[in-house]
Amino acid sequence: MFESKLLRPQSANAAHALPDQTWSRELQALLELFSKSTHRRLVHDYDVSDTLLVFLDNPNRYVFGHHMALIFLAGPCFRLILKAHYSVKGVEQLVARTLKRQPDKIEEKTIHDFMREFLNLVAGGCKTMLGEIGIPMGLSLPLVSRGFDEIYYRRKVRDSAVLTDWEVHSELFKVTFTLVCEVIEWKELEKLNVLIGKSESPQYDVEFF
Amino acid sequence: MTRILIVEDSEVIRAQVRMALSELKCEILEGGNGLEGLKLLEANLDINLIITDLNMPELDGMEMCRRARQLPAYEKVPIFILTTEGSHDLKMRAREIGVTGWIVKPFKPEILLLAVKKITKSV
Repeated sequence: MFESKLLRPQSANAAHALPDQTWSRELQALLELFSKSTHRRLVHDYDVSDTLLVFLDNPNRYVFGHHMALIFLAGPCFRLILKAHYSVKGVEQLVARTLKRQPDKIEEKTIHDFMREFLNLVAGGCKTMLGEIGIPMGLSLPLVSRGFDEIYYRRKVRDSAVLTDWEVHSELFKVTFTLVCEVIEWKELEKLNVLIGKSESPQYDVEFF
Repeated sequence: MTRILIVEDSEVIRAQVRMALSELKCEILEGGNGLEGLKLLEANLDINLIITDLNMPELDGMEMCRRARQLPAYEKVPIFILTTEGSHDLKMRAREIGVTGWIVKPFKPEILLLAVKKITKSV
């Protein structure tokens, strides 16, 4: 079952807090757009058929990975940070298969490059979808860093920010994702209504001008 | 022999493009960002096709294309944009610059090969 865990605003009086006790369906749709995209990319674009998408019940229990790839999206409505936590061993089989090489011939820098590009694919596709419904977003270049703070600190976010975690895993790929969404204009979230129940529709044809 | 320039900051994508085009008898040149791509264009005036990413460090693909079109040797050479993005605005900008085609990542190797064959035959 597709179920996400979202943190609620800490203060009911916060200026940007949601008016009721549950997260809006629109915000849920946004988070699902990204999480399902990470899963769908693997299944359809990398042909990894046995892939599972699992939302984490208690992220505090997990050590996510030795490396972190991250990408930022920002627009007038909200800002997003998508992170992928991984270890080299959890990704190298898929990279080797993708490049038709033996896993022991894959350099670590190639794994990081693959993960940067993977986040770029997910964020770029979601950015396009958001743009189509009138939510323009800017997209950063993806980055990779060694080490991260999420395993050490309590997962408390600001009143205007929500965070969710999920894991996508198969025999070839095991990565934990986190998405932080900082809402700037709650009213604008209504535009996300049309995303409910939808997923990306990838375009594989070449468009000639 | 056809010469193709791939400008892409991801080594993995460059390798995938090389694999997709491996059956073609062509020479492939590679640049890791728009600036490197531009230098390769200036140093090699006989490139037949440019395939470039958009979001790259140093110089983005759109600006590289714009500057390439100002070089007499590359006023009309076909350019494919290969990107994760597909917004109408970006495509309009690319069209104005004189880009030939738009390919959304991740690409299907057979579709890229077909498009390259089609465009290089007409060069």
